Amino acid sequence: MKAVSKILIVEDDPHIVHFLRSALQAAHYSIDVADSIAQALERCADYRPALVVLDLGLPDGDGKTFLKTLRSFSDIPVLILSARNSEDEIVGCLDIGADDYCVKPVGVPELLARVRVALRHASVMQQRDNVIQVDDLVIDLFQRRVSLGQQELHLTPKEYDLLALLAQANGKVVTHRRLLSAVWGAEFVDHTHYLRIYMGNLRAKIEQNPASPRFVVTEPGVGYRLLIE
Amino acid sequence: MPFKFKSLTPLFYSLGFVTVASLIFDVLTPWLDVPILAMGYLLLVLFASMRLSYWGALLTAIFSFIALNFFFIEPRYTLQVARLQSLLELLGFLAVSITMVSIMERLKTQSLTAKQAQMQAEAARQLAEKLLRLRCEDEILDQGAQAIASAFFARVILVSVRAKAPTSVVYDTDAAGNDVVDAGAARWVAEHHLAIGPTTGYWPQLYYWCIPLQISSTSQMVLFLYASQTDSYTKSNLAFLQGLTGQVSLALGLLYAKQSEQVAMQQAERENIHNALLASLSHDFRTPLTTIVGAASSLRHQQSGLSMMQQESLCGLIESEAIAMLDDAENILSLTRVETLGRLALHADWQSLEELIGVVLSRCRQRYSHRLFDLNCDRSLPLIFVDPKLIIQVVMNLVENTIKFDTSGSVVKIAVTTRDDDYVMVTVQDRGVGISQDVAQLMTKFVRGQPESRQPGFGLGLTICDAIAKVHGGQMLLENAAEGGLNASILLPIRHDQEPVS
Repeated sequence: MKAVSKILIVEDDPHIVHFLRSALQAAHYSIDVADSIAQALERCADYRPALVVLDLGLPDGDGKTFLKTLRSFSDIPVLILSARNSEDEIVGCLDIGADDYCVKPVGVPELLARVRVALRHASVMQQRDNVIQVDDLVIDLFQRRVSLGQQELHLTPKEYDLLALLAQANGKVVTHRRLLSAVWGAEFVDHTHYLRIYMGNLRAKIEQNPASPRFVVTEPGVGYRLLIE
Repeated sequence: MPFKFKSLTPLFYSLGFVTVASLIFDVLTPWLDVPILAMGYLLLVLFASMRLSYWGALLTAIFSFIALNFFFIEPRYTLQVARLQSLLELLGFLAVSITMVSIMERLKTQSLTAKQAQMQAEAARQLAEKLLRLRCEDEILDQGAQAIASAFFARVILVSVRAKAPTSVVYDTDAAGNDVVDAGAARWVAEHHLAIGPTTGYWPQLYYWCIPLQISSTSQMVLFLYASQTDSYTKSNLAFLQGLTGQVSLALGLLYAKQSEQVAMQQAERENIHNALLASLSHDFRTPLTTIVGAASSLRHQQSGLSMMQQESLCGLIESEAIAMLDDAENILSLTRVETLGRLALHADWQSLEELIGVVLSRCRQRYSHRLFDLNCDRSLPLIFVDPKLIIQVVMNLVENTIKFDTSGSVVKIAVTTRDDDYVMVTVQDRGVGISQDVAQLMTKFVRGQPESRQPGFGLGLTICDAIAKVHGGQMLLENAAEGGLNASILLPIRHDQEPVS
C-alpha cells in the first residue's frame, strides 16, 4: 500500500484551515497546520511534509520571505493559496521557487488537482520521463518529436521549446518570464507579445479548437499550463 | 570719461558723406543753381538721418551748411557771404535740415518703440499659449521662468514665501549660480504685493527686480530678475516683465481652478458610487445571503428529513449563490479601482483576445453546463494592449448578462471581429427582450433593465463593462439586434506600435 502523503497547511484563518483540513483529509492525506512563518519553518524541519500549502497573507511576514528561507534548506513543493487580484505576488513567488498556485476561493476539485500535480512533480523529479503523453498528444523529449493521434506535427524550434518546457513542468503553471527567458533569452523577459504570437501558432497546430484549448490553457496574468489530467 | 574711438564714428561718416557729395556737386556746378544744390544737400541730410544716429545726422546737417557756403555761395571757396539773400537762403537751409533731422529722429524712436512693443506683446502671447497647455504647477513655473530669463538675457530665481517658514528657492535658471537671494526683500514684496528695484519707485537702489507672483491664497511666490546689462532696467521693460509674470500667475490660477473643479467632481462621483453601493448592499447582497443562510440551516437542522437529491440541490444553491456574490464583489472592486485610479489601475500587456475569450468560455462551460456557447473569431486578430483580467471580466459580465436575461436557453453567440483596422470588437448576442430605455441610463450604475425585476444580480455589470472599455481607450455599445434581442459589444483600440517579432 502506498504511504500516506503528509501535507503542511500554512494558514492563519481558522475557517479556511477547517475547510482545507477536511477536504484534504477526505482525500486521504495526513495534515499538519502552522499559523505563522516561524512555526511553518519549524514544522517543515520536524514533520517533513511532502507538500506545503501556503497562504500568502500571514501575520509575521509575506510568502516570499518564507519561500526564500525554505528554499535555502529544502525543495519541498509549495502550493500557493492567494486572494484574487494578486497576480504580481503569485508570479513573484513562482519565480523564486513556488511550484503552483490556487486562487481563493478555491473549489475542492481544483484544489485536489493542484495537490496531485505538485506531489507527482516531486516524485517525477527523481525519475524523469522522456516521453510525455496527454490523451493523444505525445511529446518525445528525447527525440524532439511531437505527434497528435497518428499524425506527426511539424513545430518550429521555438514552438517545440515552448511545448517541451510546459511538458517538463508536468501540469504545473509556467510563468511568462520563465518561458521567455528559456526560449528567447533573459533580455526578452518583457516581450510578452512574442509569447502570445508563438503560443497562438502552437495552439493552432495542436488544438482542434484553439479558443477552447484541450492541452495548453492560459492562466491570465501568470502564465501557461499543460493540462496533464 | 575715457576716450572711445568708436564714439567718433558718426563724425567720420558725416564728414565722408558731405565731402563726397560736395566733390560731385562741384563738378556739376556749370549746370546746377544754388537752390538745386541746396536740395541735394537736404536729400543727403535725409539719407544720413535714416542711416546714422541722431548725432551723425545733426553733424551732416551742419557740415552740409558749411560746405554749401564754402563751395557754392558767392564768393566761392570762402566762408563769406556776399548777398543778404544768400545769407537768408543759408539760414533757411540750416533751419530746414535740423528740423528734418529731429523729426526723423522722433519717427525712428516711435517706430522702434512700436516694434519693440509688438515683439513684447507677441512674446507674452506665446508664453500664455504655452503655459495654458501645461497641466502641472512645476512645469508652468519652470517654463515661465525660462521664458522670462531668455527674454531679458537674465538670471531668474523663483522664491516661495510662506508665513512662519523660511523662504526657499523653488527654481533658478542658473542652477550652478551662487545663492544671492535677499530673503528680506522677498518677504517685503510678498507682503506688500509690489514690485521693487530700479524704476519701480520702491527700493530703487537695488541692482535687480523683485516681482510678486500670485500663486494661491495660502502660498506666495516672488520672482527675482538679475539682468546681465544694467540698461535693461527701463520702465518699458518693467511693464513687459510684469506682463509676463502676469501670464504665469494667470496660467497658475486657471490650473488651480481646474484642479479644484476636478476634485469636486471626483468627490461627487465618489459619493454617488458610495450611495449606490450602500443601496445595493442592502438589497442585492442580502437576497443571496438569505438563500445561503436558509439552505445551510436547513441542511444542518433537517438533514434526516431531506432526501439525498434535496441535500444535493441545497448545497448547489449555497455554492452558486456564494459564487455570484463573489463576482458582484469583484465587480464592485474593479469599478472602484478603475474609477479612482483610471489608467493606473491597469496591468496592461500585449494579449491575444482569442486566448482571453478562451478563458471566459472555459469558465462559462463549467458554470453553465446547461447552456451552449458559440464562438466566431476572426482569424489573424491583432494582439491588443490590455489588462487581461479586466477584459476577461468584461466579457464574462456580458455573457452572464445574456444568460440572466435571455431565459429562452438559446445558444449564446460571441463574435470577435476587427473594425476599420482601429478597433477589435467583441459582441455577445442574446435573444432576450432587447432594450427600450435610454441606453445611457442603462449604463448608469445599478439600474436594471426592468424596474423591480426579480432577476438576480446587480445592474452593475454593464456599468463596469463601460468603465473598463473606456479606461482602455475603447467604448461599449448596446444595440437591439435586427433579429430581436440585444447585441452588447465592447470596442478595444488596436495599437500600431508593437515591436516586430524576431
